[in-house]
Amino acid sequence: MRSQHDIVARWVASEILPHEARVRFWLRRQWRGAVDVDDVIQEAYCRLSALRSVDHIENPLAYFRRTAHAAAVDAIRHGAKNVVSMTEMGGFDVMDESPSAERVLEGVQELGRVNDLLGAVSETCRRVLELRRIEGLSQRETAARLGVSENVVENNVVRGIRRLLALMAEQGAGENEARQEEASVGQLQSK
Amino acid sequence: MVNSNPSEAINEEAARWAARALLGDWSPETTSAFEAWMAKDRRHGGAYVRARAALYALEDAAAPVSSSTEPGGIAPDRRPRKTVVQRPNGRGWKLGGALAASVAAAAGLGALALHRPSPSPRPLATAPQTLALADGSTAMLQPGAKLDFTVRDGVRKVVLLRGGAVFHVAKDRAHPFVVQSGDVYAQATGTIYAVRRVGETGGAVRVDEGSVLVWGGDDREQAVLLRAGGALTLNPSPKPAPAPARASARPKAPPPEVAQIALNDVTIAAAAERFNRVNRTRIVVAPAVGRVRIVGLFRANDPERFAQAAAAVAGAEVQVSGDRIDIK
Repeated sequence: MRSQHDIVARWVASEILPHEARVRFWLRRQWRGAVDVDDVIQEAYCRLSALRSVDHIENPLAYFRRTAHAAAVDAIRHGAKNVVSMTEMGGFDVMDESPSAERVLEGVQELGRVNDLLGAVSETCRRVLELRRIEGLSQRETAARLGVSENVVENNVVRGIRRLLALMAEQGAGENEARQEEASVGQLQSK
Repeated sequence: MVNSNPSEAINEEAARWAARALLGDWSPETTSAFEAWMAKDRRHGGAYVRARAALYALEDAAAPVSSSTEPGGIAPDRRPRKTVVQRPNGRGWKLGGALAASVAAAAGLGALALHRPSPSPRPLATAPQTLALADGSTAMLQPGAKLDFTVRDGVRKVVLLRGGAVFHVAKDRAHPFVVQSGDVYAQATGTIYAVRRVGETGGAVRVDEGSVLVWGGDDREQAVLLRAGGALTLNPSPKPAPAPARASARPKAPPPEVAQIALNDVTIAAAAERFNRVNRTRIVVAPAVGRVRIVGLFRANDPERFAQAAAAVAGAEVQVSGDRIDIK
């Protein structure tokens, strides 16, 4: 069970998470407040986590969007919120098929950003991850090496995860990308 | 964007489990506690995967591994490619009507096989040729390739009759350049891209420079924008009437051309149709699920895997009984 989750989680780390801010922005624009974007994103991850494999997904960003979109549609159906006419939502049909090479680049840039983000997580968290991956230390050994309790080790990692996720969700850069994307979609439509 | 309340709590718990999964010793008790937590609320699974992913990203940043790890899966061909297109230099011949074209030697078309499982059935060893089209564009033909070029109603149109070619499109915003491969269309204004025939009606498109709009059949509105480095194979199902009856006659042996089904933003209902056409197993889709759209590249002979993915996208469930798969 855990190994299946790990395959999907690895894929989410490299292919989905970097796009989260972008998809959140897209959802806000498409649905104009008709859905709770946090809920929709959570539901989208929920559906992704049910995947048995990710081999067949050629374009993760588009897949993520589809999934989020489906989750939003369901939320509207189930909820008592205002129903937005689907035809009102322009820009929906033209999909940005982000090419793989570009995606790889983006991934690298995202990692670069993550590198910067490391500055935002605690030094302890960074050291823990380093010791764990490079030296293969257990939690107890890590705690001993750093001279802290095991709880402190765990708490630092938990905070690191929370911090990273918060940044991934809010990132201003994500909004810029989304705006560029919006512009390019607009261009297409005007043809 | 402040998460209030329950989802905040879920995220906190998920982060803790992710940290434990990485650091802790997983005793049987821990495992059962984890499984109980996962089972308690379906949102937990999503929050956990997201937290685990964040941890992977942090790990990669804190202690990068030598080669960037690809998650298990198809890696669409990601090698960087350079296409050499030589400008034509003389020797004309007639092509597709009133057009003069010329030939120049060129090389390096090996990268045309986009999705490896369906290589071109005609691997000829002769050198590719470059045609100069009337509008100033050039087409570098794969050995054995054949095309037709016309300009009508302000549209520069190439019909790829056979094989594949790399197009170096002369910039002309006012006159779109459209390549038709079977039932697949690829449009650009000024760019470099390759198109190859796939099966009876399909086309494989790869973009080296600029961007190209790709769509199948009449779905112009559903066009996909491919940018430099992007590749896409569309294999629309043959239209029932004009196609030879081969497909319906032997439903259980899909021809090699449809070894993969590429879905680009189509409804799950339409996608299921396509699987049903080439498999004995029937996929039956509940109406609400059928309306959800899906993107992906699937093995044509593995309807169940498709069903699983579709169900994941639509938040539905899969039930398999004999030759029938229900998504509801």
